[in-house]
Amino acid sequence: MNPATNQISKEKARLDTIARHIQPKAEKPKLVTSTCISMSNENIVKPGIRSIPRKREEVLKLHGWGYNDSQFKMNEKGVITFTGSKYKLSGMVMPQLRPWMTETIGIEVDETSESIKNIDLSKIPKPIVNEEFTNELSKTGMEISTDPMDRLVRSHGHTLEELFLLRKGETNKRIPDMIVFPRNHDDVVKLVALAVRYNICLIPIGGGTTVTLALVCPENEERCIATVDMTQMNQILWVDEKNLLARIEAGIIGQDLERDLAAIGLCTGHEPDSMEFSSLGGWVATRASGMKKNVYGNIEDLLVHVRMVTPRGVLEKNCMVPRMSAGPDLHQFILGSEGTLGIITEVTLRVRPLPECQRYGSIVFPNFARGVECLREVALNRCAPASIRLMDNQQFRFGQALKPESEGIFSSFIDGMKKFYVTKIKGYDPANMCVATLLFEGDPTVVAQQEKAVYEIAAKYQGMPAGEDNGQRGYMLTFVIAYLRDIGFDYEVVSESFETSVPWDRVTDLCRNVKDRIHHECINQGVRYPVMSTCRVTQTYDAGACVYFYLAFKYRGLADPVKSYLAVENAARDEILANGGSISHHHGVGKLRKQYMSRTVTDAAVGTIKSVKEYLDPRNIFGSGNLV
Amino acid sequence: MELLYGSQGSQKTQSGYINMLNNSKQQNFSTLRFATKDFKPPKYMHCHDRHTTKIWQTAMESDRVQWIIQQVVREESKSEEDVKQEAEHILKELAFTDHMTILRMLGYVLFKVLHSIYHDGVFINIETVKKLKDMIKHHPVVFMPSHRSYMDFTILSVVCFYLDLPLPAIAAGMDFMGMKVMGSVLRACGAFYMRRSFGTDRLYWALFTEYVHTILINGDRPMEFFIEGTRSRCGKSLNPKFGLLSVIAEPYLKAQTYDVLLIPISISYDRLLEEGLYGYELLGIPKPKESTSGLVKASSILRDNYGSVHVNFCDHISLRKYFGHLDRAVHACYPRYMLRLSSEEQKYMEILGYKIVLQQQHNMNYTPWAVMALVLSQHPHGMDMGCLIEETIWLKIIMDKCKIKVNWSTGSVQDIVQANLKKFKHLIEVEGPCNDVPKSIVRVSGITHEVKGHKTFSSNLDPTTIQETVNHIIIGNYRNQLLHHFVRPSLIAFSLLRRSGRSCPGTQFNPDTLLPDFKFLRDLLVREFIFEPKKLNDDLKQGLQFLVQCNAVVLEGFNSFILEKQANKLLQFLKSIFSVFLGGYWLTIQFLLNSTETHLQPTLPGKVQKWIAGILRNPGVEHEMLSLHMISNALHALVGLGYLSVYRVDNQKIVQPIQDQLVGAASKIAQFIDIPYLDGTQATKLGSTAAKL
Ligand SMILES: Cc1cc2nc3c(=O)[nH]c(=O)nc-3n(C[C@H](O)[C@H](O)[C@H](O)COP(=O)(O)OP(=O)(O)OC[C@H]3O[C@@H](n4cnc5c(N)ncnc54)[C@H](O)[C@@H]3O)c2cc1C
Repeated sequence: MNPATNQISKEKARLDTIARHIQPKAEKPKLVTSTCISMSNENIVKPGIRSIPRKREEVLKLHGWGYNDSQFKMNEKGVITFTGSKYKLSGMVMPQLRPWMTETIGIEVDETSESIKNIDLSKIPKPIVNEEFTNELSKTGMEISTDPMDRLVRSHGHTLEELFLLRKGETNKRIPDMIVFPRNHDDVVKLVALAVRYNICLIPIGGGTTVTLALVCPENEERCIATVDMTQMNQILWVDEKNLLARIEAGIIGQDLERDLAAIGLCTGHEPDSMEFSSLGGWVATRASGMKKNVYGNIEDLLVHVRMVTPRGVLEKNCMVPRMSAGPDLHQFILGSEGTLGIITEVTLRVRPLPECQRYGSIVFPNFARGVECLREVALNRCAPASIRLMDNQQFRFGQALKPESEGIFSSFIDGMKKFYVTKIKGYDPANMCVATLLFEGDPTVVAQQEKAVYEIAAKYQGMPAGEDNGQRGYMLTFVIAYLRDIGFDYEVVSESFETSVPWDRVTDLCRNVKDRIHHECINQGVRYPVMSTCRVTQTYDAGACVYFYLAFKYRGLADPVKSYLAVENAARDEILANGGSISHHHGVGKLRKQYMSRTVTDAAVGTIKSVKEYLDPRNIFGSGNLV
Repeated sequence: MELLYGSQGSQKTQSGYINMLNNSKQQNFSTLRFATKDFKPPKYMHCHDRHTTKIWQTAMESDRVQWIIQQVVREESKSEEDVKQEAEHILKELAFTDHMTILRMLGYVLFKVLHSIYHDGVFINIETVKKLKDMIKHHPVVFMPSHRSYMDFTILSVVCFYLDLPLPAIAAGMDFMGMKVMGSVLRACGAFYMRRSFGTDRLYWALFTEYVHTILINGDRPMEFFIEGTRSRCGKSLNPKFGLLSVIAEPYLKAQTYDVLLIPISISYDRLLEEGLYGYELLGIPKPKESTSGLVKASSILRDNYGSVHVNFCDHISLRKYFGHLDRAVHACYPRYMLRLSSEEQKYMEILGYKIVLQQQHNMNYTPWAVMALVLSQHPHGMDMGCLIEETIWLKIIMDKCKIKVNWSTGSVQDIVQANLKKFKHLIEVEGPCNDVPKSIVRVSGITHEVKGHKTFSSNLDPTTIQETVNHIIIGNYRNQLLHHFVRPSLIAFSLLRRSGRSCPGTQFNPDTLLPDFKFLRDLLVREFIFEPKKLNDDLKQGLQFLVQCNAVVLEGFNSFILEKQANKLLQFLKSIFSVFLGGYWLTIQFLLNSTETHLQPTLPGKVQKWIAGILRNPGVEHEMLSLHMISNALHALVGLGYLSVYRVDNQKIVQPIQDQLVGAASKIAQFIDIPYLDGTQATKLGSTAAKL
């Protein structure tokens, strides 16, 4: 083939790929599916359009997860449906879900706990205003708001205790006194300078999806708290295809970023489960991790350059290079700073051409331990697909319960598997069976090689391929699972997820011990109903894995459900640390896990973090109180 | 099981025990039913079923073993093939197998044997077992029985089978493996064999550790091991060994299991099968090598009645609770297969060992015979029956006050005493007027029934000495069962009686003033009795408590006690029980002071023994002092106190007396007891000065 035609055909292939990614309506090629996993076809927003408006509450729930229109709900027939139109699951009925919830956590149709409909804004704490600061600030032309609703919706993240409070129509004693909306880097520089001059407490907020109490205002903060809403800084400033870089404003929301890049045939590949709502700045500030990190890397791998405005000035590198040896890497202080050192304004990320091929897959294992061994070997051989996740038996069964009535891709797991290996299924005990879901992405030949390698390894551990549909369904559920907590709340169930990272040799033990600990602690707390504690391995590395736990129990009969829940989560975290796990793989520390910092690193290390803070922000302008 | 042991079968006795051998009348029938009964033990919830070969394969493939194999290959320049083969060989030698049919057959035989020798029954405290059954589902468990007889683990396995408890995997000594058929039969029932000392052989250690770990973690079976390390031949508990205990605790400390429950078990025998064997062994006469034929021969003595056995499952100790204050994350920064415990963990491991032994001791059952032995051993030259009965009654009152539970059967103490004298007529002779029972003389019999296989000629002692000593030792062993109850108050008695020789009612004393004496004696007797390290004050308190309960002293004011009228008898009694130990220790010191040779550690106790045998007729020298166990306890204690030093020359351990210290110790002991008599030739210059002090 001559080079010119080769070039042309490549170009055409690329255009095809782009078309696929931005026009999901187009006929789907057989084994390839859209990257915009969460959006159903009709509701795709045109490139350049921002999915979350300045008034978040117009689209997002006040006291729950995600879009207003989307929720699990019991219909008149007592069957659970998923409402709205945003997701593939939208409008579907899941007949097995309620029986499953009754059996595994003990919900009853008539034992409910409804959330209040509207929050009484007159009860919102009065703001502490600093007139001079407000005056000076308004001169810069930045939007400022003291509207109670604006303040309320930016006063929290998504931990259980925050939502429990909101559902009762209550707020913390202290919420932001004002919200500032900077438009660009220079606005932020001016803002920080004024905050220093008038001794204002600043708390940056991106998508507000934090699950560590990172956005909670310290109760004893007497200064005016200005929460800095970054989401109006949402442009891709430039794209450098030669070096495969893009400079992006920190307030951009994940789905908008990917959509805009897709329009020009690129992607970052960073897909945290919260990507529909979380922001680039938030990712950097919490050291986020995306589902496809095996191909694209975690946020720290993607980050090439970053600007952070601190009370000392702008912290950044003066070059934009793939790597450098110039003392300790300053980026590492910005990554994971959790809003305590300054405001991240602009981030330069590595970008990649959109993958030509995407394939799903799934493997069943006779038990969890075998699955872990398989994942370890896959990691060892560096043939891990973009994503590989291993669910334990309970999650596997939970996945079954989510099966909608309609046919198609949602046909039950066993059905899907039977299509493949009707006969071989014998010998797999449904009470121990586990499933791994796979997402391959990239060049078709590479994908084919990876598939072969992974299934070969799996066979060594009695892992049996269980079809593409099962895999795809698993990933599709990723984005709706977060909605389940809200229906749990409706039926007196508190639930939460938390995660850790751990060396390979400890994974299985840690999972088992933590689940045991949860059960024992729930008994201690007087929980009267069956407890759901389940886990999955969501990320693999050479040296270990990330494990994600889900915990849910019905709190009827407990005096203080939140307190009991926290006792259980703390017990679980204690067990995690004792088992050689970390304080967090990607959620961060915030205020929720601050108490564990001294167990996680030595005093000298805590001192180092403090001294950097002391230098950059001696007056504690960034006073959210996270981390240490 | 219901059918057979239901309503009338397993009725609980008042004290919460059931008798496993209750159906003795229809023996043949029930034995068969026993062996073929359903067996559905509870199972640990995280246990994956696997074949026994899979267990040792898992050990073989473990990171620790692979790591050590690589080390050995590198450092001893052996081929990997060879080392692996060696490892596999060791594992096969180690591993247990699982054959339910063999087990049922053995169960059949054992059940029959138990029936024929334990006429009074095998009793189990059933309430604790019920709780245990539930716990077994949630956590791996370790049975930790006391170890006084070969019967221990057979009885325990039969009990487990009987009660539908999972059968344990038993860490047994290699000596059993030597037995031709029995070795494999026991293996088929869950015994696995460990070498006595494998501290230095890293491959063996790694294999053994991983083997135990994988069983423990997966919970295939409860683990069973003897914390005392070996059978106690002297009726007392032995100090705990920590090696295997650390192996057991490691999986919890390194978070490989959520928890591990330790179940101390006290197994008490009215009469030991090995009573004679032990008597000889303690005198240094080698035991016959364990062999199946030996067992069969021994079975000829199995026709006797050995009374009853009590199996007491004690309250569990959760490692999670016990080590709860230690952060297991200390093990997060290196691979778990490298054996490393923090100094804190080691410290608490040691305390745990003592806790377990103390708990075993606490839950022992005692027979009236042990109480009689306690009286009889105070009168080595015999006593009249009336006096024996009287003192037994007096002791019964004391023990009742202190809530020491003895299985006094029904009937008067006199009847009980006479019945027991009949039971133990092979140890005791009674002579005198049959019409005037109280006047008849009871004494330790000088005729012994030679136990087959004993080679008396290889001993340091001449046959007559052996003959006249053995029964004293045996009776001492029965007495020893009780001594841990008395040792603490007795150390106080020594101190109170030190200056005046007798105690005057109304004397007031402050316990703090007792401390130096108490500490000295406690340090001296650490090998003899179980004292938890660093619990000096608690031990003193316990001793005082005993005296208070017996109304010998009363608390007066804040920290001061007053002696009561009846104190003197009790104090004198307490003193006299333990005088034999102090006397033996004193003689050991005299020997060390007199002798001018260099002493090799292994042969030293024999030399001391021989010397004591030579002065056996001296006033104050008693037969029991010939016990090698006592002598070597004395030597160990002296080393521990720094009165003896041990050093190595050419791979031989040499014991070096430190004269000043020993002289000091001897003179101190002499303040507490009437020391044995030594004449000028027997005691050289040093000895006699010490003796006079
Ligand atoms: C359902 C659900 C799923 C999730 N899945 C994942 C996942 O897969 N992977 C993952 O890593 N996390 C996940 N998270 C956690 C959360 O989404 C991440 O921590 C995310 O990075 C937060 O981004 P955000 O924009 O929402 O930040 P926010 O919640 O707004 O803020 C988080 C912290 O970052 C600081 N911050 C935000 N923006 C800036 C800025 N521009 N400059 C300085 N500081 C700033 C804030 O002050 C705060 O301390 C999930 C959360 C939920 C609720």
